[in-house]
Amino acid sequence: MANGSVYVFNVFSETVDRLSPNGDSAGTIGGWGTDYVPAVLKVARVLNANESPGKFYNGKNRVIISWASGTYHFDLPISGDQFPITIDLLLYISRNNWTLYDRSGVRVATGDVGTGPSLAASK
Amino acid sequence: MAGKVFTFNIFSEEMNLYSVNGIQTSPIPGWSDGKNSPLYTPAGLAVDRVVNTSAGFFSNGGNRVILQWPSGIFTLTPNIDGMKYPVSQNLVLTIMLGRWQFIDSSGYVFDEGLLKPGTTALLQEVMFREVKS
Repeated sequence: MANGSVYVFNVFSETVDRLSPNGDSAGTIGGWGTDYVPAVLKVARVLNANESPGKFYNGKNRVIISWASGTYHFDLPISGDQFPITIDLLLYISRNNWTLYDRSGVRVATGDVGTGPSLAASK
Repeated sequence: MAGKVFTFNIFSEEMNLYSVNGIQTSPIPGWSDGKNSPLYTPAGLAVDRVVNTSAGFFSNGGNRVILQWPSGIFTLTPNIDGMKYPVSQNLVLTIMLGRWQFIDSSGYVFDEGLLKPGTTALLQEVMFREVKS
């Protein structure tokens, strides 16, 4: 069975110019439009840290987000015991908060989005 | 010009009842199955804001919301501070299993809370008010 993905939603008007999980870019995410529907980027899940740049692994993922108005970061824990690698997860990122949902729409983790570090910290 | 509250259903099931201050607005489909928009993209519904309490609208102050998914009936009471968020401003309300979040038009989460499980008595309340209007 194929690995699952983390569907990352940008809950903000500005485009995410770069979403960098674990030190490498996974891509860009458009800002919301007039209907506020958040745009999404599908990012692969992997098991181990050594294959994690640009992906999410089972463990603590350092995420760096670059919007036009600034660069932000947070750490996203993913438990492989709780969410096997084949399971999709949903990650909502707003300016000051991130929230992880499981495939049933249940919030499984949340935290603050912090400012910095600089984009130089990610590729 | 009055703003709106853009409500998103972050769940696979359709929210077949979404009542704001006593009036059913419109169902909100479950998230996308990937055919017409990216997978898991939430469906939304825009509900007008008003200053004073009015059935079917979000007003400044407390708002009584009743919703129903096939898996259950719930209530929430999101509060809007008109001094912080003038009635002309759009807001985003995300509702997921067990919880809700309020997000301002700049992308900041400013309030959140729990869904309260309800009973079918709540549905009668909504229907009664619909008949009266």
